Amino acid sequence: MLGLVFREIQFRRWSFALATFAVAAAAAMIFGSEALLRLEQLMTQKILKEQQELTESSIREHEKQVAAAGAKLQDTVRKQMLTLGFNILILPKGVDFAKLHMDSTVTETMPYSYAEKLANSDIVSVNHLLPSVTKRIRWSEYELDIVLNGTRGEIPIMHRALKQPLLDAVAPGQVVLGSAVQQRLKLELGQKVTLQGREFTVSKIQPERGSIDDMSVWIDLAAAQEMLGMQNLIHAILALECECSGDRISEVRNEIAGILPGTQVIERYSQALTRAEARTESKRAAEESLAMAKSEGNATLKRIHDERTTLLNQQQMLNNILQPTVLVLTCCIVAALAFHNFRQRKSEIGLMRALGLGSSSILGAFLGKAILIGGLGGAVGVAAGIGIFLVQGLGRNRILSVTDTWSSASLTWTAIWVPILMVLLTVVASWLAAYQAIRQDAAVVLQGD
Amino acid sequence: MLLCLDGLNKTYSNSATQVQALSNVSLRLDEGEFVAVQGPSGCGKSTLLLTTGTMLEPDSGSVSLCGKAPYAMPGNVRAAFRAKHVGFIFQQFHLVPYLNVFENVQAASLGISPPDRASSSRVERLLEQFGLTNRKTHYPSQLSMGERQRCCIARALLNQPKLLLADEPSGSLDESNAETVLQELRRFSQNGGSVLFVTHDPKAAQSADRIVRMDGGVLTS
Repeated sequence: MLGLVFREIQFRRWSFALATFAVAAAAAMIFGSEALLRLEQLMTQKILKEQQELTESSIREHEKQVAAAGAKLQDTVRKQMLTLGFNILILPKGVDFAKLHMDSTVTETMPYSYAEKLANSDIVSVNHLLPSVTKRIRWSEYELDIVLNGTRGEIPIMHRALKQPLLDAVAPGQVVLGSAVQQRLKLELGQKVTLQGREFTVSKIQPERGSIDDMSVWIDLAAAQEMLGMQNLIHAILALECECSGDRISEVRNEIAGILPGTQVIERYSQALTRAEARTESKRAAEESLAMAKSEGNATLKRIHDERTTLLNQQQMLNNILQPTVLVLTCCIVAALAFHNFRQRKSEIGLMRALGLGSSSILGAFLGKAILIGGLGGAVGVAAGIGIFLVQGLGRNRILSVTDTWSSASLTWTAIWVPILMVLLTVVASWLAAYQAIRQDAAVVLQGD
Repeated sequence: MLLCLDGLNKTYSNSATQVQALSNVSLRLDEGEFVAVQGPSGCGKSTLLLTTGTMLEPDSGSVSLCGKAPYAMPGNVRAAFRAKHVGFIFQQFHLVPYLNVFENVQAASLGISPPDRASSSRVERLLEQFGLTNRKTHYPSQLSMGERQRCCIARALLNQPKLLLADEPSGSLDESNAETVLQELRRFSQNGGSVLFVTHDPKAAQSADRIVRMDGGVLTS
């Protein structure tokens, strides 16, 4: 019987080809549309993942910037306290403040031991101690008025853990120049200079500060004391990172007065505070930028997600309309061709009846052909659909490898169910014609002659 | 007795008219008998053949073939019975257009269950008998009318039926081919088979052992 089916197909090959083509086109469309939809879904996942990574990367970058701004703020404030004095200055009583402010010269002295005494006390409101001598002198070798500063490294405070020093000490035999001094004298780093008959090497040139520091020179404390005839004497003790802001300054003054009688405390902080606040503002701006980056990143993600969801929904809706339409049209075409085939074969069916063939054989002849049309059309259509998938999908988007995309999109299952669907469709579409064939009264056909 | 038709009635109806194709028809046919049925067009000759060939159940009356009542059988059993005991010859041949001569003749074995393994050799013999051996790979469209009818007769004889039913077997043929066909039918009856054939041709009818006439669905002689 199967041989008869094949012979009949061969005889009416164009009708078979037309039906198979219709089924193949439907299968290709269904497989292709399903595959492209899956591809779009994969693409959406990839785009969202990439955008997520981009956003997270941007947020990480902003977090780094915030952290860097915070660290810079901390470091800057710490150093500014050194140079500009978010700190207190401990001076001997009776200092002429006019001279102090006019030319940074302290008129009175106090023992160097005060610094050690303070360091050995149980004071809690002071973190760093820098004893110094400061005097305006004439640098006779260069005929230039300068402020000579003698300083040393920080004196460790006995009851505290050792802290990171805020200022490196000037090593004996070396000199640090203010920027204006360097510019006037055209001195270079490493150059030997003579100061009041002593030889020094220029070890550092301070950047321009716009203050009396620009006309200052720093040398080792002991050398300065000798040079100024102030052995074991100092002019001031700079106490840094004091917890002396606001209304606690009076407590600090009282605490120091108790330890170092005959001294007075002044505070220097306003400019440092301004800069610190600027840095704080900078950090706050960075934090706001971070929050904005997060917000914008999330908004971008949501926008892309919404756009892709809309696109997918539109494509899904198109598929929901297109696929049933194509199936119905294909069903109609196959049914029409099957019915035409039945009309062509009426005489043959009558003969088969006369030759003793039963209804099941005639039904088998029609439905067997339908299964062949569905199976072949489905297979060819899926092959064409794979072609569409490769050309229109991977060729255009190139988001994944062929095998990855195939497995990710579960196309194997689609490639199986589409031909099965096509077989079912052709069987259903051919059923009416097959039913007509088995219901046909062979006697009427044979009598018709 | 091979065939016994008793009081057959068959009416074709549609919404407007009723046509009495068979009216109380009774006929007996012995083995080896060669009977012609004559009558005007539309008198019920073809209906008589189809009813006799178990293809068309009568409204009333009985048919007995080879001692069996085929219309009492279920459809598939009756189809198998028909394949085994009845051969049909049609005026328009009803050859399957996509099968060659050999396959058309062999198609008669499709209704035989279990499949007849000896059918191929019998096909070869029949093709030789009917002078179609050199045409066995040809398709119906490539055959002359006489060749088509000989092919049709060969197909009818493949299953070695007891009864041959022929509807105008020589109606589409020239005189020579018509004579050949009638000779073959005669030969079949001489070998013990029974033949009931419908013809308009008086000359063809003269070759039969017996002639029965029909008019308006009634056997008149």
